[in-house]
Amino acid sequence: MWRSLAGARAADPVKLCAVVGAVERAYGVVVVDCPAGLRADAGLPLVVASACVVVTTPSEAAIADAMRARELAREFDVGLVRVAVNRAGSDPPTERVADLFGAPAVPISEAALVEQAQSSGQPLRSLAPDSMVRKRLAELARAVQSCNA
Amino acid sequence: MVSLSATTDRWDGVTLVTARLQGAGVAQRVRLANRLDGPVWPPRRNGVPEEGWKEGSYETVVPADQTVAVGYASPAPPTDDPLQIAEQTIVDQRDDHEATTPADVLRELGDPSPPRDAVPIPITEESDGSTQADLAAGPQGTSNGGPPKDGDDADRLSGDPARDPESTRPARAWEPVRGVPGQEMQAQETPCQAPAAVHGWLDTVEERVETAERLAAADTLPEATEALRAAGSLAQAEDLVETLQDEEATLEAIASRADRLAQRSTESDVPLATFERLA
Repeated sequence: MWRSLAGARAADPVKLCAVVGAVERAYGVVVVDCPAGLRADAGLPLVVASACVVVTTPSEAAIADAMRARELAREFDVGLVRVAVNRAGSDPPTERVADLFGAPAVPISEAALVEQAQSSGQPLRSLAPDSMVRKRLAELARAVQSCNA
Repeated sequence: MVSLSATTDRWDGVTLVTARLQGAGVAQRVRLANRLDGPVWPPRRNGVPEEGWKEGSYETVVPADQTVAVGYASPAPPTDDPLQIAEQTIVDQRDDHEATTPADVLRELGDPSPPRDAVPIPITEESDGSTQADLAAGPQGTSNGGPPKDGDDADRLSGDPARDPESTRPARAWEPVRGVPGQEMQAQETPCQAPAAVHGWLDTVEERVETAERLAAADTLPEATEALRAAGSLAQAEDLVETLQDEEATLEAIASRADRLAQRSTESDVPLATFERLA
């Protein structure tokens, strides 16, 4: 329904909070992929979130946008678990990002492996179990899961 | 009784403490005390500790049956028990901070729905086998290879259903298509006989929207170059975006007014028969 413009217009974004609550009651843990920006579609999941991960890339523009998302999360009193620096490259500004955001930063490099996993529909644990990117994503997942411990 | 669970994480010589307070049955004001052997570095905003932090302790209200998250840092080494509940008292009155509702968020941050004109019109096949042109030139909208020709645009609101390519459009020009309770999509076409000046303005706006959609759809450098060339120049593309932002507000205002007028027109019931008798 969301994957078309007509579907997006027909949907009622306010109902997302109730839906997340229902999924949590059924399955225990809900991970919501929020869109970029500062409109209600980014804010509504924060109403019901316990914690968040901000995703950025190393570019200055992306970091500036991610900072605004971080401030939005603060307005809703949602704790920041980690900052994921996507497409981090060989020399990611991890320390600077951690200082800026006030949370540990996890660099996600090896974009080609991630794209290959996405296009082939395979998880990284099957495609490249010993890769650094898989280890980093596992580290990110453990940090998120620790919030639900 | 509020329950506390806390974990620690050591990162770059700093211990990060993450805690959860789980409420039970009734709202309680809780004061937490640090048990690490070192100072508390509370979360700060613009250099000022967040509300609730004071001299190494943290005070907050835990609503009944809800969870409150707490976090802070310390240079001290981690322990199994970094935090303790030093004090908890039942809150007699409801906290004066009203919880944020989803409706509040929508009101404050704005509706994320795509604008009405961005929603493509589905193509339907007529009984004689011809198809109605898809009037939306967005990336999802066209399946006949491009935007409507000028002739189609001129006829779009002409009121002639036989030639009107909008037979799949909602009944009125401004009929909302959103699936919100209280609003319904009309299935049948009603000819629109707006003045020529209105047609002309809408056609001009639509051309700008189509140009913006082509620019937005460009995923590669060659596509972006071509789209920018079609728009004229980068400066013209920037002017286009600015103009469309102003026009979006105007279109929404017109749509809203047209909806209200249509509703009032529908609800007005002129007793012509009575007037005829009186006359």
